Amino acid sequence: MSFGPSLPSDEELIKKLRESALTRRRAEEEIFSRYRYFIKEGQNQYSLSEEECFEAYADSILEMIKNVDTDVFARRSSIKTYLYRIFNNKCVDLIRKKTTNKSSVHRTSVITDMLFMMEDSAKTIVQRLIEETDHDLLKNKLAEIGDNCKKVLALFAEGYSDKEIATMADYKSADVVKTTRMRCMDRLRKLYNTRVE
Amino acid sequence: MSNLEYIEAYFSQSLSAGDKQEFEKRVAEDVAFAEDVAFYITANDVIYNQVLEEKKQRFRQIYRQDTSMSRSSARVLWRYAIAASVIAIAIIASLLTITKMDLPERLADDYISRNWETLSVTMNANANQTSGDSLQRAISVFNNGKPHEAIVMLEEMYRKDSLNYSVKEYCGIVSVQLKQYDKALGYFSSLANDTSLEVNPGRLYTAVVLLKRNQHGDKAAAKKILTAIVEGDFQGKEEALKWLKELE
Repeated sequence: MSFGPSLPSDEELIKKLRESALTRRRAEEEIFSRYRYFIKEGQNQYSLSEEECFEAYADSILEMIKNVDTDVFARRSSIKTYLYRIFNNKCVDLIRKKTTNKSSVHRTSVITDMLFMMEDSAKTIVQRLIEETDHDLLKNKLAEIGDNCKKVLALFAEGYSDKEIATMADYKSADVVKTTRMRCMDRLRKLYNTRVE
Repeated sequence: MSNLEYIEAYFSQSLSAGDKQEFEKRVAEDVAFAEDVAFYITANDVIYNQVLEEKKQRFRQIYRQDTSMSRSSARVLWRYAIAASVIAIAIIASLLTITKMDLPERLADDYISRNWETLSVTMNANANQTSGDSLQRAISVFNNGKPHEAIVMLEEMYRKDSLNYSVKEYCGIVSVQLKQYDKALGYFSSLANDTSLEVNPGRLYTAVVLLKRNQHGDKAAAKKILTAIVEGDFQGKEEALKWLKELE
């Protein structure tokens, strides 16, 4: 007996997360809505505020999606179990942060991932230069590079290949996407440098 | 190839080993190039975090809508909820009676599956950059389903820095996943005795392992530790109170 449309299975959701931007977005929202009761559970279990639990839950969804993208999520458990573990860890991290102020809640960082790939002496040099960069200014300049640039850079940052972006955003070819991306990064760099100089 | 393309090729790991070395040498010798690399990384980080921030805003809207909708639905459904709760309680009570013999292990299993199957990659303040990196690497290896490799890495770190409480903590957790409970007890007892920590999960973790091992005398020892946690208002008090009630 069915009382309404059946919910997509884990298999279907993961497949959708790997499809075009719109389908992926719907799958993200479906997962978010399906397990949003974790927020309430977090409030009850850890005595955290609704806002803190919302942040932990939203960050958990984003981390799970990243792990699907990078194949770190090995599918040994269901989305629910996997997500709950991440959420649980984030709540515990939050409590530790509140009680000891010794550790920060884990946030996805491209910087850490990229630096991790570098050999130590090069890493130290680049790390120092990154620390000198004005992140807020860069964020503001990103708003000035134009919608098309923002879109193409955002899709690439989400892990789509140039070929996939070409299909999704109506570019002639992957090469055109790559050239556009490079041009956009260059524009961002110039905007940033103008202000810094 | 422009600098940007060259940098992207490095980070997408499409350069040969020789070219990779050449790239790193250039970073060390050419300041302008190193600045390009730093900019590339920072820009990608800013863009990616912007994407995440936008997603979070969408989630927030959905959450607000869903919350207001569910509040009105809740009024209509409360009678059904009460009936369902009564049935659920009856089922849980009968299950608890049936499985009372396995209760300590079940409590431990529940805690382990909720907390220790995937570890949070959080940098620790008492770790220096190098040991912090190594710790993150070991945790990633563990999260990728390779506990045997992770324990080798962690124990090597422990040999070098036996005072690092995070290393001790993770050594214990991974030992539990490898069913090496005696070893895990060693790490967690040592962690519990570390008086330098303001918040110390060592006592609770020791109790978890005793409940999991569930050999003769383990349950009583675990109860003793849980009582001490409650009386001393130590970390894990809430969990300890809950378990003590269930173990009675």
